[in-house]
Amino acid sequence: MTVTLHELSTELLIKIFCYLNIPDLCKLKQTCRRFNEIITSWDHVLLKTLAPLVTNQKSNIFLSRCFNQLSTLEKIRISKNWQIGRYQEKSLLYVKRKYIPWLYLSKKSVWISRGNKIFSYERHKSHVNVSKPGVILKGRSNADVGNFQLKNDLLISGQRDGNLCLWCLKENKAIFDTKNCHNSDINSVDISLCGSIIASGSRDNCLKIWRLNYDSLDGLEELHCHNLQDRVWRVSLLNEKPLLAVGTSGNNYKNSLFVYDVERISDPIELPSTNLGLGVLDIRWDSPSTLWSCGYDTYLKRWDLRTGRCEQIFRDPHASALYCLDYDYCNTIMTGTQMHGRENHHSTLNQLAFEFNMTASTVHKIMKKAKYHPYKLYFMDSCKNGAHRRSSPIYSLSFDSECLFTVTDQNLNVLNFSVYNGNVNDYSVCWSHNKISSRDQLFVLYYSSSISPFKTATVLAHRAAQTAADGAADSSVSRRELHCAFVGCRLQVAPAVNHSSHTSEKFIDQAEDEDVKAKGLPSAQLISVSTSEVISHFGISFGSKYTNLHKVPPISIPNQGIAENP
Amino acid sequence: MPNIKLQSSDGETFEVDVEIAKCSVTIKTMLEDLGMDDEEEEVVPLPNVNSAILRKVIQWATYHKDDPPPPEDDENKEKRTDDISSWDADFLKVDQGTLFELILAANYLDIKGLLDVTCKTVANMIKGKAPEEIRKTFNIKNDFTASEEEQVRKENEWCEEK
Repeated sequence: MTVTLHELSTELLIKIFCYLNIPDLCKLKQTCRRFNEIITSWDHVLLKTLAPLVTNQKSNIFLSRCFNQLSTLEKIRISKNWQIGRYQEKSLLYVKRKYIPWLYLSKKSVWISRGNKIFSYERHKSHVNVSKPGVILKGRSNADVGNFQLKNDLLISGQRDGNLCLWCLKENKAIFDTKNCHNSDINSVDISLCGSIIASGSRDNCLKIWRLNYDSLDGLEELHCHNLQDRVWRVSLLNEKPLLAVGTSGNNYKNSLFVYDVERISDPIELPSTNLGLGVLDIRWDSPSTLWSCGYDTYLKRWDLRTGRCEQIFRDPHASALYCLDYDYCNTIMTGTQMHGRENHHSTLNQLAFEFNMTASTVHKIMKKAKYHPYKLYFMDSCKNGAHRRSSPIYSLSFDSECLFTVTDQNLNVLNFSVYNGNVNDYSVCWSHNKISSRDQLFVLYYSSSISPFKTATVLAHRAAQTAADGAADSSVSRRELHCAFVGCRLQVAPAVNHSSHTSEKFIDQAEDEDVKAKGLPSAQLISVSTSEVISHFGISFGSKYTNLHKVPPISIPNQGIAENP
Repeated sequence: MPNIKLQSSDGETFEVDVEIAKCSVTIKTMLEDLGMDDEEEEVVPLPNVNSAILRKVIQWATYHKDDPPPPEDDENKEKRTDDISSWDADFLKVDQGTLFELILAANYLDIKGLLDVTCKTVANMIKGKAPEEIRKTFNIKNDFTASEEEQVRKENEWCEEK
């Protein structure tokens, strides 16, 4: 009688399987039921992972919005999908009218504000039941919801007419619904974890702190009112301590990010900004002493209150404003951008979400480097709705380990990364930080190119580099030039394809001749663009190329799309 | 050097140096608990190990008697399988049945070094093989239904690509 592998106890099999790596375990899972079950249920013992990107589920705050608690093997699999860009995109909701929506993701539902209502849709695994909203909240006010925030079954919303409303979700009724809390649009609201302190920021330049008071007529007692001279874009309360971070437009007063002690509203900590107009659009607390911010300055920044300085900077490669951010409280941050500095009525797919890689091992490097590129870009393919293709920023986004939810003016989209097979959407060609580790290197790459169409890009890129170095990356000129550089970068990939050099020349010509205006365009197939819109036009061409990209190997893109674009 | 007698399941007795026998934590604890320091010639019965396997185990323990105690498992250290010494590799050039019996014996006798090296050897036999090859190697019966097999194949495809 001889013993076989199958007769060994589970304990011993685990001991053996511990020595195997992921591919071998996956193959072993396919051999028989018992091995499949053992590996599935003991994967946390078999595999030691540190903190996979997006799927780490290390933080309880993050875990509380994850639909599934993933097994180790699934974590590794799905994290890989995030990294290579394998996902399935679905437009869950499309509305004809444009709104500025806001999104909140919880374990069981997706909350979204549209117009004067707030809807919640139930989540089912990777999809969302959009046919029937679970809850619809509408207060007395008919003005649009500017912002809302949800904590512990309490939902606070601020309307565009200055109305504040607090909902108790358990009883599905309003605790208070108070008019004229502000003189103008409420841009941002937040509520403390205990539910008694409410902060609101408005277009009327005021930051207000409220206390929930059941004795008063309104249910609301104003504790502080502070005029900041600038529109208040974002307020964010820290859960652990009574601290409030406030982001303003920074138009009249240079600094646009402040941290207040809620109990003593005067003397905020001011976090320094370099120029006027670098408004802060979104804030997320990381720990009681660190926070993330993003906004019009096109940077994602990590601030440390102990040093009072920005300790980490991530640059948006397309130099577009960052509208919103979300964090997994471990190593992944995603930001939603507005690709263009303007509202263009061009057909384009210009939303993208950045995911920044800062796994524990690299944080130090980033700190030292101070400037770092996004790890991955995802482009929303959301404007698929025929004639309604329009540019819109991503107004809000949120993600759990498997899905990324985004809202634009008309769409609610989900990118599902838990798929087994699907297209790999790899946009790293346009900004491959693996190959090009710094912008300087990128320019060197241009210089080394001897192909004439790229010479212009070289010059432009060089100029852009200088402008960026001068600290004016936020100005419109340099933004345009950066885009040209970006174009150059894309075309750099093209020379392998003969056909493309012709097309690329056309584009470079446009970029080169600032006086070209609409008339000088070499091709009638292109929609007319003025020089000021050249950049957005690039957006179009890229966007549509990206759509074609899904099934085409990345290198062959440049000869498609540009000329064919209506 | 005092000796000790170990008796296999099939009744054969082996006389070994106490120090060698003590590389088995099971025997070591037994000796300590029972306090067998007297001159009495007692026999330790090992009902779970047959003579062929016990002979191999003693051979292994004799060779490794001067080894430093194996390090504790480090949770975060990646487990390697390519660090098997050439003597161990030769020693473990045995048929599968013997190898698994050695694993069982090493587990029962609690000899960490032997258990590690035998498990590594089995792991090496699994590595790099396709599911069908693994089944063939270890004579495993495929008990999936066709649809289950398809499902499990689909779920595990991802790890094969680069």
